Amino acid sequence: MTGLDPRTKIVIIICLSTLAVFLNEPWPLLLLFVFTLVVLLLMRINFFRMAMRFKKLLPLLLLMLIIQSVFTAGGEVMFSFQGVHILTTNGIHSSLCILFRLLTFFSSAMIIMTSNSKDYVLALVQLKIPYEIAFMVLVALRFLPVFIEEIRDTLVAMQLRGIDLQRIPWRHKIKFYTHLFAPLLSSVMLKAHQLAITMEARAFRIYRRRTYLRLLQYRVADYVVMGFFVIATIAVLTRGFLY
Amino acid sequence: MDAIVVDRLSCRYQAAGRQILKDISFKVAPGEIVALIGLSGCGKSTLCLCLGGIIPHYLGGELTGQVLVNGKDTREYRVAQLALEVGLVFQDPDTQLFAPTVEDEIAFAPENLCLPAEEVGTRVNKVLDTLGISDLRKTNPNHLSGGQKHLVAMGAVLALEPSILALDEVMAQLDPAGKKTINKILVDLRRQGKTILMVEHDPETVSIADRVLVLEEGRLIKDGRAVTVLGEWESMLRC
Repeated sequence: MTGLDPRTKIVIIICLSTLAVFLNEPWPLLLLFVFTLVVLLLMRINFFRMAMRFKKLLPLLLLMLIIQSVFTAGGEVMFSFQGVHILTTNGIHSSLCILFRLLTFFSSAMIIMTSNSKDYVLALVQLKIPYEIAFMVLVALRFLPVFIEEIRDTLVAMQLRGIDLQRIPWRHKIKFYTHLFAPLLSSVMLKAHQLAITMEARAFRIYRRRTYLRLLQYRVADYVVMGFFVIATIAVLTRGFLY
Repeated sequence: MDAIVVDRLSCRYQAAGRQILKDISFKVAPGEIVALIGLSGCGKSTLCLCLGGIIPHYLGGELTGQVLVNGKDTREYRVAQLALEVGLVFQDPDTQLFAPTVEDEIAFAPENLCLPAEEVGTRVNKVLDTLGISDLRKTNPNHLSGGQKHLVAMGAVLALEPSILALDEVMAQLDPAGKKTINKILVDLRRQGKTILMVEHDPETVSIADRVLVLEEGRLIKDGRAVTVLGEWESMLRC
């Protein structure tokens, strides 16, 4: 499945995400998540790297689970504190749904990584999206790691000046991150400016349209996979899995 | 016809700001390699931006005098149109490379010209051969060394086949071997008829130039044969 057309991959992501949005029970959502993992396996995505990325999202997921559990009313009370229902069966139901839904979103988004960014530009252009917008996507994908590196460098620079992030309290930490924002924004603006000049200096937008060294072409496998995902999504959504 | 004509050029970025270039005039003949040297902040990069029309079209600013590239007044043409005459390469290759492979990076400019795919392919092959980087065709530019990145940035501009190249301190971050490679390529490009304006602050890197211009605080203080001007400038710096 690694050699699929990027447009097919976009369809797969849309189908998986649509199902994740509309399914409302933990079991079907868990099945969907497992199915997404199988798709990733077929696309030879490195599970270890993926798990490492998810690790960073763990605090956010946990926070969402707790919030969902506390603020969802109804069901059997499993734990309460001074009359406030902390844990209910409905809360657990709701937080499990959120958990599997988010995991499906994040995992299906990993499919993007199996093609290079220029292929997505071609895919968007061939889907009749204006090429200026398609290139905005390319530039965003290209510069995302640069910005992450920039944040890391700024953090290291601040730590070298004696700020120990592990030890300072949360309220000071938040203040510290606001200081991080200003140099980052200025650096991002500068890079965007330089890049825009570079693109103009290479005749970008000289004409209303442009040509491409190569174009994407659907193969039989693309039609089969796309057909399967679209039909399966419609079938699931229309056959009573919506609770 | 001269490749570059700069006539009484003065420039400032903001109406009330400091004047960066002050009444500069010079001409560059086709096929000439001209080095523009001077200390940091003397206006070298601004002059490059004026040649490519980035000033005044993109960065604004107040520009008086005239800049002609292959007879075209930079004020009357869009930056993208001027790109067909002047290829601009900047100092930092990281902000100039955005495609996932070297091949895509070099193909970007001819694709903008609406050339057929075969012609784009031919231009890409030609540039890769000229720069000796055919083996890097499918490599991600992020994984290249500094020197290789500069070559790719230069290649991306050469694919437009401009007759003039303006290189803004492209050798500033390179080791001696990298500088030697780029100088060799520039000599080859001159043989192919390209006019080259190389902006540098290190006089040692401009040994291949036919002529050297020296800028000081926005004024052109010297214009002459490389050997003479470089000797005079170095003794001036020692004082």
